[in-house]
Amino acid sequence: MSSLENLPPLGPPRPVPAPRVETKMLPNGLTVRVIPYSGVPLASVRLVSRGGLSVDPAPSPGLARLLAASLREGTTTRTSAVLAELAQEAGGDLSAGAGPDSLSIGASGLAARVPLLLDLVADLAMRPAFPSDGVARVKDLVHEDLETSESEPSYLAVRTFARALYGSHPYGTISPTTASIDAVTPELLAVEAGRRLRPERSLLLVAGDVDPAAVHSEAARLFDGWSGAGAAPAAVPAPVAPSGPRRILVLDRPGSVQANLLVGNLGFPRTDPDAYPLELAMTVYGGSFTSRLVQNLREEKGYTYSPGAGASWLAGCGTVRSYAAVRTEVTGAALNEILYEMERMATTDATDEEMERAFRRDAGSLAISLQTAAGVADEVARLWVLGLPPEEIGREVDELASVTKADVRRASRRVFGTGAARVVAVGDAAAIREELGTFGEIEEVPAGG
Amino acid sequence: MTLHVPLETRVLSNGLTVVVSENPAAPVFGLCVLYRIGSRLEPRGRSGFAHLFEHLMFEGTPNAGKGVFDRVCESSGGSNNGQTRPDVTIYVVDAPSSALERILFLEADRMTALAFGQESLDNQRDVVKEEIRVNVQNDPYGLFEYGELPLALFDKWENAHDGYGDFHDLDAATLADVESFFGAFYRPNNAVLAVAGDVAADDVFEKAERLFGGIPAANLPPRPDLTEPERTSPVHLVKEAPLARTPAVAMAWRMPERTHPDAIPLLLLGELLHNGRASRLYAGLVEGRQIATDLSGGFNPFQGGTWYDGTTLFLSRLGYRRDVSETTVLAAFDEEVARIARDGVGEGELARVKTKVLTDWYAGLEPRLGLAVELAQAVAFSGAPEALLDLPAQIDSVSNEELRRAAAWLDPRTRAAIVKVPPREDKVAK
Repeated sequence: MSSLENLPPLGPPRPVPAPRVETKMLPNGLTVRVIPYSGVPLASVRLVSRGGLSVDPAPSPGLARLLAASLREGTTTRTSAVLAELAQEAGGDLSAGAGPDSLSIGASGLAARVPLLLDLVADLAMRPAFPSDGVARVKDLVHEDLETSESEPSYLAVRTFARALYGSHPYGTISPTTASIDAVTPELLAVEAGRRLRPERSLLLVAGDVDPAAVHSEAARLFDGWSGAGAAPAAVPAPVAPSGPRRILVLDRPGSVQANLLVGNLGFPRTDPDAYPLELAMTVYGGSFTSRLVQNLREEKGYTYSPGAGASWLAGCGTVRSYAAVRTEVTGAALNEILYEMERMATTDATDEEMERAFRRDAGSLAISLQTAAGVADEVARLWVLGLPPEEIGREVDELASVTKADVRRASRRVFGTGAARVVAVGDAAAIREELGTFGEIEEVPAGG
Repeated sequence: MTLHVPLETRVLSNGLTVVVSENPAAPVFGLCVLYRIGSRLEPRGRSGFAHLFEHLMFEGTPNAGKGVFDRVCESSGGSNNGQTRPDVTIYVVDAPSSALERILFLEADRMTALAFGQESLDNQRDVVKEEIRVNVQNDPYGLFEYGELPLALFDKWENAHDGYGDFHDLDAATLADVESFFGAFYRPNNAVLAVAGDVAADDVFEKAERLFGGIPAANLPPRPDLTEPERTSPVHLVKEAPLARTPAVAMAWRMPERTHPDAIPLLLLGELLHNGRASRLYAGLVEGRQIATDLSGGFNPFQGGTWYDGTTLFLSRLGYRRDVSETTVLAAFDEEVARIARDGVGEGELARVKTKVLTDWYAGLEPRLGLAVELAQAVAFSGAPEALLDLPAQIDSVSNEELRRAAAWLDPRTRAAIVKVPPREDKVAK
């Protein structure tokens, strides 16, 4: 890789210590996990509930996002302004967000103020008020965000790609529409909050400089009496991977000087034995500066500055995708190279050097992300949503270390076969349509999605 | 509520200060090499040169070719970056502890000598220009608080010029400029090395001595006086921003030296006004009167804390609704400030803001790299890393009276304000 002969060698890789996690379950079914972690006198509290964008009712795409943002607008006992003052008093922030599989409420601040932080999180989860002025403000903000996003080609590409991969499955919808935002009412939000925010479908996490016993008893006191309302959301079926032939979706953005390309397919869930081999495969393929895709598209061909690839995990499946924003005139050439590199991963072995680099890279970035209490809490929450226990953290480096070249090739074969791949191109259709037709059937997508 | 930060410091015979804070809780470290040269001290006629030079530090040495630093860092499991600030330029690395020696080796290597030709200079000049195009031309408000506001606020060229630089000055830069800049400022006696995380202080000192100890010191150029007296008149500029959809105003005041008794109260005032949904400006102008849509700002916003030489600015930036006039927004801002100057704040609110400031500060020091950067800045600006740990007591001691006095600095008569308005004919509906 470099001609630097006097570069000192790396030391042996150090394990990432498994965090101490103390778990209890309340009588109402709420799982409470406390992760004591000293260093700075801070703590973070988060409540994660299964019930994100994928359980939005069909007529209300993107509802989870509005629901999460509206939680922050007030409770039956506190106005938005009072919540802000109390959060400030604890030294912290109070926030709520929505992902594909979950809703999350978080508060962070001084460890000494954990009872207040827990109180605020419990208040948002158990007693949201959805005041009409607050909901109206949230709707305005989401409208504005949506409008801004619609002008960004990278967003348009991601939205089209989700539709291409998942079709009418709930994972195929990643954002609200003007109509679905307009249709939101405080009443609708209250019903959805009751259905989704329920103890037996939630995890409460407290990480930081805290005494686990004290946190457990405070959590038991505050969340006692919490129950959901209405019917819990139905289970989301696992999506079915699209089968061949390869399809190419083109979204026209007249006058674009670049084309945003996304290429990929469905893989398998994070609980699959090939998950760790796939993580390493993605790093070898396109997840780092020294990866094949970046070296090829950026360093050798000069088609783009920012190509890359990654795997993302959802509750029932995984996705792999490659991305590149390329000059219009090399769109076809760039797609050709992407498909070639995908096939190469599926049909040939990685080199020893690639394997070692990928392992160091993945183990290193994992250790870096787990250096703070909040980083550990994020990982524990992420694993929970994917159906994995917190102990997985202590195993991750060993699992990565034991992956062989054969494992990487096998995992690659499962996701990199390009015959059924989905390709999205956002750009000047007139300039790229014909060339892209070489690679498969073209389907033009209307701008509205 | 206390923070335990073990600190050990060693100054090598060539003047390089090495600071180590051990923390074995996770197998990683953060490393910062800070040079006491920022955009304010770049040569006249060479605006943007400090930033251009930062790019050149990744272009290779006689020992390690172009791109080696990035590649070695990444394939060791780490990541790295550089940042040019008004008074310092920092080079930072996040990495697993197994990579300590090779990262120190590479940092020492590029402090020893650079090797590149006209091609690298031209190439990085283009990269920097592209960065300016993207950051300035793509931003609907352009340079705003980063370039235009200092120019309106300050008199001295050092304080007033744009650190991104203009294309004419960038084009004028030569290889000879690069060499003399490196020789004048990128010397061990003008640098600080800070490492925090899963390392042993003695081991870091031994490696630093071995890898950096032979790099010769140099006589440093005299540091100019960057202080400026308070303004005696306001500046008010209105500019059209073709890409903007909504209007915004950025305003600033000249600030006293970092050791002035009002500095810490001003830091607290910045947070009281801007930080979070309970802040005065959010509660008063966004949520209350609903005239502003977003806000940011505070004391010494580009380097943080009280880390600066001479003077700095106090910044406030408000985005506001199209149907509201700039006069209304500025008057509402002035009212909020005047109310603090007149009445102070309640004891409860004062305590809450102090807590928030301290919590944010702790949160910034938990990542090893955050701590390393702050330790390096503490050495650069106050001479000792321990000065970093003075902040909690300094914040805690601020009284209501001091806060009121701080608010008096934000006088409309000494303000520089720039208003950016969307094109009048723009009828884009919200």
